[in-house]
Amino acid sequence: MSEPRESAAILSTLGGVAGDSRGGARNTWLRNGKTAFAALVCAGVISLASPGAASQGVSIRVSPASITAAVKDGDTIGPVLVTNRGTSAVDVQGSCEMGGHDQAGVPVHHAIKDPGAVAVYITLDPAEFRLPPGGSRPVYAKVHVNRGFSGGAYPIILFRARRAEAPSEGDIGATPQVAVLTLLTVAPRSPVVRLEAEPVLTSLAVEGNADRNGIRVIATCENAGNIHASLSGVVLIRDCDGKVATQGALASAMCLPGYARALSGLVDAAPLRKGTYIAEVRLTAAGRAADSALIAFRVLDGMHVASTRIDLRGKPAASHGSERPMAPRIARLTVPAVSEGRDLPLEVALENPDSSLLDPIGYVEIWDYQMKRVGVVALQGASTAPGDLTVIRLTWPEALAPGYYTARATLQWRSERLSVSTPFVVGGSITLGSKR
Amino acid sequence: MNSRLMLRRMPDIAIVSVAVAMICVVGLSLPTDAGTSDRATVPVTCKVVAALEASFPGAVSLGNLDVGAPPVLSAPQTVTVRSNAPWALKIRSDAQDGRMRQWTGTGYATPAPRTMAAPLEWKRQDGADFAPISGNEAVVAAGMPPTGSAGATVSVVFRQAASYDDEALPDPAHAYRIEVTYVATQTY
Repeated sequence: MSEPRESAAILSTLGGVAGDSRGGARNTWLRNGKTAFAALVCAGVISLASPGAASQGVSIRVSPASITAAVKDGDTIGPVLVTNRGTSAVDVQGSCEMGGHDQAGVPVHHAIKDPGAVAVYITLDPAEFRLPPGGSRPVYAKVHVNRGFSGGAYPIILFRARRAEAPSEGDIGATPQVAVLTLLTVAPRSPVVRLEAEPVLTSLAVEGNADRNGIRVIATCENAGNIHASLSGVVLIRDCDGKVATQGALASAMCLPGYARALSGLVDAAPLRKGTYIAEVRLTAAGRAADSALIAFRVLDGMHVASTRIDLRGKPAASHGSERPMAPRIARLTVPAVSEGRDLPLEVALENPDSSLLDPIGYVEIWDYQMKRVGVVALQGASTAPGDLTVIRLTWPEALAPGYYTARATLQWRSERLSVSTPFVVGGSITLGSKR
Repeated sequence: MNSRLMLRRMPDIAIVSVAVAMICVVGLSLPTDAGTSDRATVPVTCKVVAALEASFPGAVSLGNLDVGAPPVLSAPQTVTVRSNAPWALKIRSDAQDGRMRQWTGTGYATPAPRTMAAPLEWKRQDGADFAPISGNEAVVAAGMPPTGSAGATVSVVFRQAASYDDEALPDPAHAYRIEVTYVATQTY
């Protein structure tokens, strides 16, 4: 790095740091440039490491940076071509660790202490080598599968590169590592064992400003299966009557078994107005329907969306439970036991035992006898005063065909769901037989 | 009557004949299977291998730290990444608690190296707050899109404070030291 660039970089850093502690002073200091810099150093407000104290780094390239393969014990994958793109010779050391990821898909890895205790591990050939400037070396990875394992395995290959000379200079040493991800599949020997991804939605969140960039819907899911899943999904934003007002797609992402992944999607909010909406998230894994869930949210004045988050783990808490005396509860959900299916009246009574106002938000679903959701409407009503009971009356917007149904009212409270269900019948005559 | 009808139909027959001929000509010029003509449509496909290249900074010296003086900042340590898939950069130290330890020039002093009281702190150059570095990996950059040929840079600044809890090392060849590991990776 040339000296002027370094000075500029230091000044830039100073601007950032000084701005942190002194509010709006940052821009002024940056405008005054070197004068401000000198003044700060003289005044002892900050001190700097002496310029030029940093040593030359290394530059390394790996290709491929991720490997997807179906393997069995003893297979060799690769090679991974490791290239020294720097100007000094480097010593490269390869190692293998167990991989996973955080919710953003950033790999996490932990050392393998006992190769016999993990399902799959990898040994590298060669594991250590020196690369001259511009030099490359293919590295092969031998896969070891412990007996009886089948499913997905995700070792991460790490290449650590250090300059061949003066490897331990400086107060803050730098060890560069470049990772190669692997997605390995070990087929089961028994036809009884199946490799399946089981993505399950664990939370939903809605945030953003409907007037500006749209609404962001974040769906978190866990893969409870034994193989990685390529996840994607759609978001349907339904109005209070359950009609689709707008929709968007969740960004696709990979989710490893045993890990959670957050998928987010931006939804065009232009068609929305102030009111209560329901976001329906439909998750797909490798193109197949996997899971779905609902979250109600409000668009407020100024098209601001009240940030809402719901934890979906486990079943919705029974609203009649008394473990949390301050939690609101759905005192009753009333649907006529037998009706004609048109303009079906629904009545939800909410009780607020807390000392603060309850602004109810939630939804009412109707499921048919096959437990397929027929539709959903928003549960919205006037605030419930502390200690009060509020009755919300709704009319189901669609006509229901004769049959057996279940109505389920869900109240969102903080990040929880409280739910009550009731069965009902829509009467009518059913004609059996075929038309001529 | 019949001959008149024949005459009237003649132009229709001629038009149909010309149309059939044109269809034949056009049909011949369209791509068809190799088995039925001397031309063939061959799909050409390829896959691009995921590649990752990263240029890392070298070691950095913070110089002499004065007790009670404002913390010393390092110059920005820049990592340049080229990747054709989403990528991330992480950082960790060899000391779990992030504190610099007595270094003899070849290794940490044994059996009990002197240790700085405060951990080394880091932040992205464009970030707001410093955070202590630790043995657990911290994400410097995540959700980064493919870089293209130009690459992308991420700069990290380190900060270290000294106090009366930090012993001056009697051996001039010794120094306080910590090893920072940068991990560049593509993401799942």
